[in-house]
Amino acid sequence: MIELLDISKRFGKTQVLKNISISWQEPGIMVLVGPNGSGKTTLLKMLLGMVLPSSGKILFDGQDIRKSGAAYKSNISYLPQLAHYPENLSGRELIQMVKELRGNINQELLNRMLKGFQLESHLDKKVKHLSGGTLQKLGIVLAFMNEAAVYVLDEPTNGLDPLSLFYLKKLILEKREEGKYILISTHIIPFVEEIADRLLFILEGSAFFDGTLAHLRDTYGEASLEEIVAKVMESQIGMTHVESI
Amino acid sequence: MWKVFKYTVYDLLRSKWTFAYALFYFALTVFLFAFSSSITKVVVGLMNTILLLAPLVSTFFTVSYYYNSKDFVLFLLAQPLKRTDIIRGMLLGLTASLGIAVLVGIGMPFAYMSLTQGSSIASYAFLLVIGVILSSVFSFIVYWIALRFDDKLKGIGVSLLVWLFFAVIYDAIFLLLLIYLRDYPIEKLAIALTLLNPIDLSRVFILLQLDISALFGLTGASVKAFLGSTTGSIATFVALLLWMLLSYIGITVMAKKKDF
Repeated sequence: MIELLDISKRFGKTQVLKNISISWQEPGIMVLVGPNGSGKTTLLKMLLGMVLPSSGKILFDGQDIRKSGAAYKSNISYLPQLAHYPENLSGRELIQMVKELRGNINQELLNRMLKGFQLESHLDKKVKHLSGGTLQKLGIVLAFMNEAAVYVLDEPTNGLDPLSLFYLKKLILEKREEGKYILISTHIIPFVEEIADRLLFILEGSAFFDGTLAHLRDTYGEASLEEIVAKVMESQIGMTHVESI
Repeated sequence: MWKVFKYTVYDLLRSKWTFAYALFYFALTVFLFAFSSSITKVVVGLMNTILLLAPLVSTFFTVSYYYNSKDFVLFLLAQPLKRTDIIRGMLLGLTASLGIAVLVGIGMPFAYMSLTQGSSIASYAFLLVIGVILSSVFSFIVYWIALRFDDKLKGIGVSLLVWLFFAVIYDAIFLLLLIYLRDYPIEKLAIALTLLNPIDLSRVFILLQLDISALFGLTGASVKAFLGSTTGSIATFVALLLWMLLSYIGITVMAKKKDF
């Protein structure tokens, strides 16, 4: 479905991504982990054409996304890391807007999500009067109400209460059942352990590990995922730390 | 593009800043009508306010809207919309909201006066046109600058500098140049320099419509002497539109290659 061919990106002097190649042909949940500033968000933004690669190309359904225009995005749904919407619009208007922009809406799921996230009473408030968690829930609703083949979620658990987190997991698993591709970037390791079919570990802009959880344990021993991730990150940070001293 | 436009306008027309801006124009126009002895004085008072305020408010409004809506642009970019359509829709929504503030704020008292007092008040509608166009020119230029700078502080700084340059510094340099070169025939140079500043262009355009030679200054007089009132009006108007076109091209080029 999605193929990254030797992607690199530099912003001025900073090399953010280095020669990343990924082939993703099996539906399921791919989780993107890595320390802050390792290039996760840049990678996700590239999939959506928001950031243009310095070199390499991205194929979506076999088509180069730079050549296929914006049409492919009707098959990919995105939850941004920070939800910010025009502050004087209401949730209901935003939902209406997404309906107008995309057309391909699952109305049954939309109603179910509004109930599940207890958003119905907030729908007519202006966005600027909503709390961070409520905004995040609204963002999730806007992302999942679309019928798409691929769902890209940038830190979807941000600011969610336990009940909403539970509900979000249910939604993600429901989409997996339907045979969708779900790409999630997160820092919450237990969340990764629960849902990941495939793990992509990015360190300093390179794909450090790409495979299943079982595969990761085979390579790095039987420790908990948290310990493995911490150890790997520490070794990297430790090195740069020593250098800077 | 029109869908983005629609929701941008929905958002902005409900902003208290748009409302406050329109209200200010409204109060000022009513005040001028109430206390000025002639329509010409009203028009000159409004002209001076528009020339000073419209560029400044456009600059602030555009730059703050751009940086506040960056995440919304990301959201729109994730939808099946072309980059240029998103940027154009937003820009148009922005200029439309500023334009509506001018039209409503100044236009309503004008319309009321021309209906009740009859007379030729309606013939001063060009003031509204210039108000809208000058707002748009600065909106376009500032949007271009904001697209160029990801850093909010830099974007705001450069935008304000551009406003300051056209509103104040440009005229100072202009004046110094005229004094320095006073022994030479400099009318053509003066016209050329006027064409390069949207605020001066607007001033000359309005003065040409009013035909008050005492207010012309050197540039107004030169434009009138060399081009005549009609050609002069057309030339200044076209130059204003060229400013918009130029920034619009800059915005489109920037929107295509930018990393959001």
